Amino acid sequence: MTGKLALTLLLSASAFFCSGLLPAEEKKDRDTLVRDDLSEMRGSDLWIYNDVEKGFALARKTSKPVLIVFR
Amino acid sequence: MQVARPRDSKLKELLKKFVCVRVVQGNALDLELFQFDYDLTFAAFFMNADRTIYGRYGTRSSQEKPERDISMQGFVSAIEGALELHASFPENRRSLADKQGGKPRYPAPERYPTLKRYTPLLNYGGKVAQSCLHCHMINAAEIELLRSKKAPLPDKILYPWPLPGALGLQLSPAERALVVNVVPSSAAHEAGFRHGDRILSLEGQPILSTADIQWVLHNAPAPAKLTAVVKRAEKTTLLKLMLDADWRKSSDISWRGSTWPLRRMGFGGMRLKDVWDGDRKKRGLEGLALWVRHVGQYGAHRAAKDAGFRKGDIVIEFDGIRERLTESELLVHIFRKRKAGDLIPVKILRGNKRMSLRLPVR
Repeated sequence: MTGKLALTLLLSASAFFCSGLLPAEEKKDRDTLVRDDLSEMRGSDLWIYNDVEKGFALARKTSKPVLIVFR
Repeated sequence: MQVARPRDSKLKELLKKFVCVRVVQGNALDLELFQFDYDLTFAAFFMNADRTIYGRYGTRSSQEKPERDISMQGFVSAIEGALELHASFPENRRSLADKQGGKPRYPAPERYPTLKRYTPLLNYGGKVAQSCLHCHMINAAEIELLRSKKAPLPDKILYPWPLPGALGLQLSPAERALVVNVVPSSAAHEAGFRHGDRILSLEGQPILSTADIQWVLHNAPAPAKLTAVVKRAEKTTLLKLMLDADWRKSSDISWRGSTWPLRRMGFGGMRLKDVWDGDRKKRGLEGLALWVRHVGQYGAHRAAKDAGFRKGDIVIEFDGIRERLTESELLVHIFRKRKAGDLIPVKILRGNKRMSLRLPVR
């Protein structure tokens, strides 16, 4: 995968919550996108969804650092 | 999504060394802990469990070209740097202390008067997207609040999160704080920065990314003296940056979502763009020449429309100013020199016709 393609994927998928700047067509499905994203992330073995305190608690237990991504 | 669902094996292995948290809402954001450039579409924090901040990642300088500022390689490099800082913790705690910001005006965004309609939790059972408070609304809310109190807008609000370009530095988006260009006669040039320098620290803070440099700049006074340590040919060199009283002035704020309230208040809802050199030559324009790209049509955004401005007009004189300025510079002029209720004299070109209009400041 090229760096540019990876970057495009990094920025393009899911809802741009932090910016609110979405193309008009994506806006149509935004509620669905958000719910789908939640469902998928709930099944993730890597990511904690929307719960910073849970992240800090787990980091204390595991002595790992925390990566918090806002998007 | 490449970060949330990593396919790159190196990234995947690196992420496993962290507790990874994904936050998709500005609602209930801890504004004391999470201070970052709220106009971004992607931002990351590397932290210790005790909430010490190792670093930030995420930078933007335009709406169109994210690859100019961030890359997957750059993100991976910042992650590796964060792991190094974690391995040296807590011995390095002191050097990380200033990565934490001061106490904000409000603990959470929805406490701002203009954001009170938002609740801490998203409405997943209803119109969930509408219930989401976007990060860029935080800056906008601060601007609205200051303006409603008739308070001046400080440079930190007008020019938030300055890029290294404000110093004359260009960094590689694919590396960790690697200098790829130094503008002649700039503050960085005067300080002795060179192509190929890797910035290890700024004001004593370890640097993992361009965002970490922006954090230091965001909090720097004007004028300022900043100390940088760079790695050059396997040696470390100390450099002193001297920044003048107007060092933030070259920052471009036109791409920022939070600039829209400034346009509404200062330009009556217009979006302006400097006429490019080829068109200037063709039209015989010198000095100020800002093309009206957009005129707001509704509510408080239609003040320019009501004053007679139209899309396609070219502003050639604004409040007596005739020299060439960018939209960002002109906005800052308004908020430094003019108050709500003032009427600004503006001269425009509409086709070949020169016209005089008066623009109300809100």
